[in-house]
Amino acid sequence: MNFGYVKDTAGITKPINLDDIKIINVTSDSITIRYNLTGTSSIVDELAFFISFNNTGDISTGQIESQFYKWLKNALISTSPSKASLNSAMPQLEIVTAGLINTSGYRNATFLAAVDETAACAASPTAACVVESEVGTPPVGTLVLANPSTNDYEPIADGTYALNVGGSKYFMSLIGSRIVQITVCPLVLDFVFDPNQQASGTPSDSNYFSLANVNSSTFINYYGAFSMSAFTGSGFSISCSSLTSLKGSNDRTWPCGYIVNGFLDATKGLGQLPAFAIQLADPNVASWNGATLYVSDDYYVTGDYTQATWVGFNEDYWLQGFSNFGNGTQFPAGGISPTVESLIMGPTTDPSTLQPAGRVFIPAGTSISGNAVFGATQFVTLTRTGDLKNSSNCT
Amino acid sequence: MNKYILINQEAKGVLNADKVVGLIGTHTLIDYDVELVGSIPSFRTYLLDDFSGTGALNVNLVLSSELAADQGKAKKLFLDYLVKAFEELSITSTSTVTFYPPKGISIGTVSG
Repeated sequence: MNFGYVKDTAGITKPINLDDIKIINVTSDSITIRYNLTGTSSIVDELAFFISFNNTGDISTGQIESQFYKWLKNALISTSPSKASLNSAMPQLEIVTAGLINTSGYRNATFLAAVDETAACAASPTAACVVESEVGTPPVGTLVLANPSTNDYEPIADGTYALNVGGSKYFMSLIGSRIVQITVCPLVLDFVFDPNQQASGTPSDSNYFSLANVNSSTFINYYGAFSMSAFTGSGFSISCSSLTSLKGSNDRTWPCGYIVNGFLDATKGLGQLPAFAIQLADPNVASWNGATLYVSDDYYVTGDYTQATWVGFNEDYWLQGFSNFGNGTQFPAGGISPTVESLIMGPTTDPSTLQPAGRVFIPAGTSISGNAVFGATQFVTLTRTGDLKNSSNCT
Repeated sequence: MNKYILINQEAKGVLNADKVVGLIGTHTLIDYDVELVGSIPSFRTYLLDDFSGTGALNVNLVLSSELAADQGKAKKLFLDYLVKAFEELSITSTSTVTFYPPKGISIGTVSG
């Protein structure tokens, strides 16, 4: 049993197994200890103990390597844990994190330097990073590493930043690449679509936001109605080649098509249906690309979007099921066939991940936060993360 | 020769607390961590000979109300106590040491 020890900027000391090391990779800001030779060059989900550091002394990679091997030699024969401390052997390095990197333990995010909260919340961060936090607002102490390219994880300089995690924006301060202060940005929405605007008949044009469904019959089953003769059109094949298809008897989109065709009436929840909202990547640029889709189950209560509760309409949300998506829902939880995912994912493909993606139909309108104007109804790709891509005009 | 950290269910000093509920073999251990997801944090180990990105041993930690309100503090306390057990094991001639969690943390379900 041979162990060295390393302490990170969170103040946590971890042992480093010095037995069975197969290879060591040293760069100017990291040391990777690998315990196998058969893996890929990836360090994620691999037998790779990753030590990331700020090179405050600006010492060369050769010097780091030399000092590391000197430490290793001493640690292997040391009988005292204190003499096996990597921090003591390499005082020029501020060690930010040490350990395996597992995908189950972090989320992808983006960041951007910002002088204050106002600037941060108005910014659209684009630099890739990983956040060692699986759900919710990352707490103080959370590790944040820049991820400029695959397998490259780097400490971020001390300072203040905008952070975007799954569509939620934050203003954070980092010291030692760890969050020491974090503030949730108020959600700034550009569009709100409320299908309840008509108690019967057709939702108004400005609220005609609807999702294509993969299989009309399974969506019908989801609501416990096993036949729906009122529908004559196809499920997701609506391509907006004719707006009459989208807003007429052939419209099987949810929820607006179902309202138009008389299936979603007051007895099926009309009046209390969830509302959708969109935050553009830039409220002054009329592009759905990079926009984020939100949903609210309580918007109908006040009709005031600033008082409603909004959550990202992404797989984390829909895996819970559409429990509030109309009365009479038969299968409110994911995992029961048909799952929500099987209903809405599949009309198209996410070009980035090549995974099945959804399709949403978005009406024309003007941003309520900026000056972006969309002149036509468009159909847009909905990814599993709740982001929008690849818009096309409905003509 | 493998050496083991024996995991005691309760903190030292808790009445009738001596009860080992699990162990950590150190020979092939390459990392461990406390995952803070949901209301029950879990301690996980990662092994050289039985590697999985989601961990090998999975130990649920039961927190006092004070620590439940500050899980980050609970995580650091737990890992600080554990590394002390590690250091003790590395200098002792015996093959085992007993790890007592800090006060406010007890060991819940242990699974593989």
